[in-house]
Amino acid sequence: MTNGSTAAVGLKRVKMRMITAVAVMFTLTCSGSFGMEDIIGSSGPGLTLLMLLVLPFFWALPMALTSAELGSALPEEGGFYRWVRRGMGEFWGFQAGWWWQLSLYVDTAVYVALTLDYVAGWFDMPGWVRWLIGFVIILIFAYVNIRGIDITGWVLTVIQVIVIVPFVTLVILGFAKAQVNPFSPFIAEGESFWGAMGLGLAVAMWMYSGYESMSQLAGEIERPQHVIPRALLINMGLVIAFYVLTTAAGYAAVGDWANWNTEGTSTSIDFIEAGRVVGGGAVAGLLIAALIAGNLGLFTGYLATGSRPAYVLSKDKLFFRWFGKEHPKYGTPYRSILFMALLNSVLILGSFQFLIVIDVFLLMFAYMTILTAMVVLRVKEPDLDRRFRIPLPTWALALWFVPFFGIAIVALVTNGWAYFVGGCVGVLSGPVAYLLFKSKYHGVELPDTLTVSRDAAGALPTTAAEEV
Amino acid sequence: MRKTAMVLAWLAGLCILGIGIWLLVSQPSIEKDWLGVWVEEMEIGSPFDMGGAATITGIIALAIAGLTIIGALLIPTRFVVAGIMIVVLDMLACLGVAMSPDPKWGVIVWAIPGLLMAFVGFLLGMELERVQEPEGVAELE
Repeated sequence: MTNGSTAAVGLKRVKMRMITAVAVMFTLTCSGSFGMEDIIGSSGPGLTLLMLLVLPFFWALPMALTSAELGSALPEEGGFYRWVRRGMGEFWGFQAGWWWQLSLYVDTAVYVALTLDYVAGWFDMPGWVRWLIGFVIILIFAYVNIRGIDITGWVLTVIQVIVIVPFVTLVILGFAKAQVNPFSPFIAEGESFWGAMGLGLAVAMWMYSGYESMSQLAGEIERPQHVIPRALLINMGLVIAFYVLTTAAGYAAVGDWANWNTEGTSTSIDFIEAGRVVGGGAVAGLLIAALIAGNLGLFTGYLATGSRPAYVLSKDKLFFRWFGKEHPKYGTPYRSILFMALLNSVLILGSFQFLIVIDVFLLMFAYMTILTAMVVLRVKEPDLDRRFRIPLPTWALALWFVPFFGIAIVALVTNGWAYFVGGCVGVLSGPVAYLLFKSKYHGVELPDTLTVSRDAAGALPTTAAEEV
Repeated sequence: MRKTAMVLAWLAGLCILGIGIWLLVSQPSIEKDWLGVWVEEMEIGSPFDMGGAATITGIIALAIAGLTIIGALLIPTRFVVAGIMIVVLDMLACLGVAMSPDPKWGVIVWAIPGLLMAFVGFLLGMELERVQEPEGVAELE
């Protein structure tokens, strides 16, 4: 696990089967097709399907393959924070970790808030009851997370079964009862090709995000350089197929593309309504269960990954030391998990949805930093032992990343100027935080070679503390 | 890196000084509907009118210019404090722009000094990484 110059650590490494790893990845990157309805209604069904097929090659695949290559070469807790740090230095590593963590702090609360909104829609309940239910949900899943990534993985596997089964039912029944060509009309009426694409692009980008997340957990999984890259690649194909098939089947069965949205009005068509049309109340009920389970899965998955940067930054003496403690029995960064859970408990009290758009801004900056680090590491350390390597020379890789940067920059300005400036404030918090924490705690040096760490990770005993 | 940061901070300070003087002299019409965009897009707060907004924002700009120039002067001796001060000023100004009646117009006005101040923060962050001795070696997992 560590070479002679490094201190003992108490994170527990667990065995994770491939199916569990894929379930975790699927949670972080998909967790159902809900939200896709807005793209159909704004861009048109044909263009929606085209975007779902093409966008991954310029948006999701670069991040997925970068995570696979660097995850196979540098399988460490903190994932991309450590990759960026190794390639571009401590300052930029901190920025990537900070921006990503800040966005996740807000993001995770949304999934609980959405679940509560659905429940509140069925039962009339006072505000404090709504909050109490949310608090209990957060506590339960925080406990699951503190118990360890293996138990979290199993919980997410069960959740994804609840998510996938209704959608598979919808796909089978939807194609069986298809009434319209799922590619027709190709573009929303009255819109140009680029105008229609712009309307749906932000949602499609969001649907294809999250491929960097699992790298955060590399220090808690046995043989992460083997498990995570494979899970990433399997999941990538799974998610594209899932989105395309569910969207095509749902729309083919119901038609009426202009009314597809998530606004919940009497004329709105969403996947639950599509389920009702093709399979009656039973399928609609299953899809409602999938919707709630999907949100809870996203909360649990992102509580797991979103709590790790604070822990690793603390370990690297770049954040409050309090966050750097592992649970003495379960070997998880329990303080970091608890802090994030408590923050989410506070956030679900009020209206904070506007912060989500600022989140996108922070994520885009983190993503661009990660891909830049990928190219820099290819140039700086060409001989790094990459067990998985994207089959492209570095120049072609850099060229392939250009559209990703273009899409990210477009995303920064599509939400209006107030959000743009709000996002800038979030990004600027990065250098301020670095100046504060670095001058207070001084940071630590990264050893030159991580080979010892990587090799040891494959043969590590179940608990790192046992080795010590 | 500190020298470059100092030059950028000076330039930002002078730019903001210019903006402050322009606001005071030309008195653009920005009295009405502060926070209006937030209310419309984010559904938070309530819009308000600010009498003499051009004068008030002009004075604030002069104050920010003065503090930015003080920050620039501090960079050779206390660059961490200077960096934090300059970037926090930039963040506060960004919040002001977001609250203004026309954030797009605000972004155009603030773009150059805002970017210069952001660069100062990033440069001084990298400078701190260069000069601050780390304490120990990372724990690799």
